[in-house]
Amino acid sequence: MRSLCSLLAASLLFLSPALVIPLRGQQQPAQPAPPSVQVSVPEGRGGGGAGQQGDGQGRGREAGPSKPTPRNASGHVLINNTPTDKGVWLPRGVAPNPLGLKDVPFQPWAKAVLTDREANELEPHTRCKPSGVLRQFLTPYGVEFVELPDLQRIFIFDIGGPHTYRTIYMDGRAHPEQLDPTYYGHSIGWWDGDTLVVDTIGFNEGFWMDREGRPHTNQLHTLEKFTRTDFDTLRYELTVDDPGAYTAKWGGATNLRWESGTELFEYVCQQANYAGSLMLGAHEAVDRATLTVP
Amino acid sequence: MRHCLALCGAAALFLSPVLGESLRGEQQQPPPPRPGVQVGVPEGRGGAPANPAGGGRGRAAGPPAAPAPRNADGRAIFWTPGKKGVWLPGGGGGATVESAGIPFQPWAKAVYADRLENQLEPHTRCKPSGGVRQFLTPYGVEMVELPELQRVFIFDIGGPHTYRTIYMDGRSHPADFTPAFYGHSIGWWEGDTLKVETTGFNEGFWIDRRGLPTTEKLRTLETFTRTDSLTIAYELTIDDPGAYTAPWTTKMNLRWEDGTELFEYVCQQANYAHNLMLGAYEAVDRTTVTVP
Repeated sequence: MRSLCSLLAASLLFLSPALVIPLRGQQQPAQPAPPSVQVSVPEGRGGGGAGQQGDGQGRGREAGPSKPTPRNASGHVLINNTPTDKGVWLPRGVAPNPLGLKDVPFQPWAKAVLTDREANELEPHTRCKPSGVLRQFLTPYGVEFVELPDLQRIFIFDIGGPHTYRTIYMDGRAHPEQLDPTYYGHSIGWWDGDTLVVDTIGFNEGFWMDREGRPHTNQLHTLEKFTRTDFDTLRYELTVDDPGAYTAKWGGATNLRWESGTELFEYVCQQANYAGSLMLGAHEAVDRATLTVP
Repeated sequence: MRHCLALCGAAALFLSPVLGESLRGEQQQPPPPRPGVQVGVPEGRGGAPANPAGGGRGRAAGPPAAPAPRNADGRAIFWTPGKKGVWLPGGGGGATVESAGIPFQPWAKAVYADRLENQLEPHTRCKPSGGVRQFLTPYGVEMVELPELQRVFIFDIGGPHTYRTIYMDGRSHPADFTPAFYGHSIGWWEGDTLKVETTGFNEGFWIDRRGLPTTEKLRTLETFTRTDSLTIAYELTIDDPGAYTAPWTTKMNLRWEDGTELFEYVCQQANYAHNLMLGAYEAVDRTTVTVP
């Protein structure tokens, strides 16, 4: 009985991102009407309203001028928490196409896959799979960056999705010649002035790199730039180079916004995820032998 | 086709912890005889038998243990400057607990007996599992201390490839914490020992590999002491008046696996127990207390 109760409680808490959000959302100010197309950020705690393009402002926070970019004693930009400032980085809002993309140079098959995915939204992220590139930053709960100078690594902690972490090696290593393809790939980074630059290869093909479903192959090579332009804004620039799916490089930029006061909390997608049967294709209605349903 | 290959490859890599072990185990030396009582440590890469020298199976006898590395203040640290490595379950004897010595309440004893028969552990369904279970995967953990942020993170490779936060900033447990797989952990240093007190556990996991039950009344005290360069002595006290008649303690060692870095293992990829997550598996009655 005790266990049953806890199961019920856990179910309430962990049902799915879509269901959890309204619960948490009750603590927020009145919500704007959801946009007709919801591709990017779910409604709720983390999902700022539409129309907040690029201003770094989020719902539930007083609008106002931001403080300057925080720096350490040697002038190095801080993208992580400090002893006095706790928070996470959230996506800017619910608007689709956060990178503002136009004319993405699809190869024909990639365009066809995207079209299919737009009609059949069977995203691996909803099945608790880590999802690299832009998708990592588009959960309603946000991420925390932690830079470890001693260990020469940066970790990005996810709250949403599978509640996992990504490692960026800052020790000057190159990508290994032999890599097992992974959801987050192999990331090496360096600071270029105030900008963290991250080069990643070694991706598997089991995730969507954005919420819309633009496909990629294991030839994917990304360059990401993170620039904290003021206290509340982290500029994210992405360049995608994937000759397996596109005829040329393409990219765009969006802002992540600082959500002050929020700390990492335990969210576990695998608990009571009702898409469980999709993980292996047990769902009879879905043909998992296609390119469109990883 | 490309996709299919990727899936197949991923399936081979990520099947399950148990299968993963045997795959990896093929590169290892033959395992020694199984210890008589195995509460803690799985067979395979990480499952070394007790070895006072801190050496593990499948590893050539490495360099002898050196003194524990220390920070500028002279206190032992969990990382090793200039080296990469993770902490694997490493025997030491204490990983095995004589169940006869555990002060079960009758219902907990019955649940435990049932779980020994029906090994439907939530961990195999990609659920984070707190207590000693966090340290009993074949792939190990990394412990990272952030003095400035006053937190310690424990990074899991196996299981759901997640992380645990230990707050070192002197805070108390919150009054209204939502029960979680890893609970709410606060820690402090006493000499070379990190002490961690945790409350706020949910009941959706097994605290060891064999199925010791716990309730939401569970409170744990863990101590981590790096006794030499290759060893962390780990001690766990379980205080759960919902399931046991008295607090009790077990211990084990973690051993340093030199050269291994965190790598991406994702339980959710091709986990063949997925249909157990929600109780869709017809043969399992998930309304019982034995199958969370």
